[in-house]
Amino acid sequence: MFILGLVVFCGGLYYCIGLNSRDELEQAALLPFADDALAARNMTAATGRVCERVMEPLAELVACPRASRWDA
Amino acid sequence: MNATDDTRPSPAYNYSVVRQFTLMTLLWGILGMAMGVFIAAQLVWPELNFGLPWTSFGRIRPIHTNLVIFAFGGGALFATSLYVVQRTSRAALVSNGLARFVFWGWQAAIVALMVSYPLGITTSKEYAEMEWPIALWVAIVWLAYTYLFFGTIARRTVKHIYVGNWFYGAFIIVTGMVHVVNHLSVPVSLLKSYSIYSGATDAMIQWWYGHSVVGFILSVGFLGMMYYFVPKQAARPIYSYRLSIVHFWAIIALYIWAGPHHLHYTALPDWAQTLGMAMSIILLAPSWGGMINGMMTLSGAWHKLRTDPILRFLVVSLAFYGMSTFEGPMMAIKTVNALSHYTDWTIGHVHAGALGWVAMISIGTLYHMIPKLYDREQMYSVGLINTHFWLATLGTVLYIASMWVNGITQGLMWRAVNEDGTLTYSFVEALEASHPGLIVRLVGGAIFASGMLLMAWNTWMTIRSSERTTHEPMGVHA
Repeated sequence: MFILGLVVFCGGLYYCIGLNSRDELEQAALLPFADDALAARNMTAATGRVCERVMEPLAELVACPRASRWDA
Repeated sequence: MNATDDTRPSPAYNYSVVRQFTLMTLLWGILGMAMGVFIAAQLVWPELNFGLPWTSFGRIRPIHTNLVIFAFGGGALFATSLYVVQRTSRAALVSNGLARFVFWGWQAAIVALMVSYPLGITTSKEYAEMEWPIALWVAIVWLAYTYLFFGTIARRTVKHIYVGNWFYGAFIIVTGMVHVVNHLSVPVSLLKSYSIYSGATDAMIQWWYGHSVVGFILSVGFLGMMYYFVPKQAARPIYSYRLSIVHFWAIIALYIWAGPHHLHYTALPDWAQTLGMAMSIILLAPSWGGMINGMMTLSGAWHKLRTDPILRFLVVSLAFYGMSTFEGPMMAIKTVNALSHYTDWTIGHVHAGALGWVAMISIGTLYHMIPKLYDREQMYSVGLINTHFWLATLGTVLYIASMWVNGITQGLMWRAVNEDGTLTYSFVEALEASHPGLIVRLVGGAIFASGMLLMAWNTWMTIRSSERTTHEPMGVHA
């Protein structure tokens, strides 16, 4: 079981880090800013790091009117 | 991490279920903490048990623990995971109908717990008190939640799965697994069942589950929250993305082994106890790796703590996380545990994590999220958030400090022996010595809970406010 755990640990690290380039990991780190243009601009201004593709989400769907009663 | 098309337009997120879980998190948080204050008062004034079985400490305490862990903490995790997975996957939830089922199904389970425990309908296993029909229902709801979360990840429009989602994913999978394994039982009637395990095996399975609740709900799940909301609120990316990945694989490889430290000096085989102790000590490394990664995210942004009480909530929660994940491994050492176990020190340790880490990061996260969910610029009153922060901090410190003093006092009094080998103190003498600490704990808990009322008021006023955020034009920005 210990060996299996060690294999999972090392395999997981290789899969997540070893198979991704530096740029890919950099953009992955910036994902929290990738759908928020204002936050992305503030982050870039503060750190100099650039989120390559920033997209604003569309207006929210009103897909569940019954649940919306809870929306206040 | 499959490569997917990164050029598709961003979708419309489903925030409805996130709003529902957010509001219920607040409500259950207030109720759960009020229950905690009530049972703390019962320990100071036993008359508050009212001589009734339904209101006795033994029946009310599981309501407190289940409400704060599964209803408050669980609600915060449902809300934030469904928020984060959509935003970092740039995909709407895989099914709005399933999202509604998960929300209402979870609320039904919580209500069932609240009704059954005072009636004495319980398995008597800590954090797993729910009888088999409720456990079965929870498993079904959890399965739906699992599909909802991973189904949304599967339809993501970005290549990478953000590290926060890995933490949320591990929380979902492991919680489902340990819930099912620990609740395997033979029903003898509609409301009574017996575990399929017995003796030391039952104890081991129970604390494998119990510590996994601590590890994978209260730690790993909330670390997923931390990895999204701390960078977002600080306007800085996580300090080291590589470290976050190492943190993830290390913590999931280690946490599942730590359960036996709950069973030191019991009938559990000694090798299992020692294994649990050793794995608990090793666990300090990934825990602190994650804590430092979160803290260092504020590099160059520490000045924001002066003006941003939400960020203060998040950072102080990380400080408490670091403190309690240091204290936990120390308490897992058998010689330390010989002093601390069964004393109030354990209660203090749990609440350093529960109030200082879980509740404070949840509160900070909800303050971050609520204006966005309701399309507001910010919360109604930043001053009230600030007041809430100090109430929460003061309440936590009073709580844990009083329990430390009580715990060490109790441990030392219980083990004190005279020259002839007889006990120096009776149990009642140790109880009397604990009374001042129990009063301070009650005050601390009440102060913390009062902050939740401020939060509810602030949230209500934010939602009622007519001011809305001005949106920028939608589209792709270079």
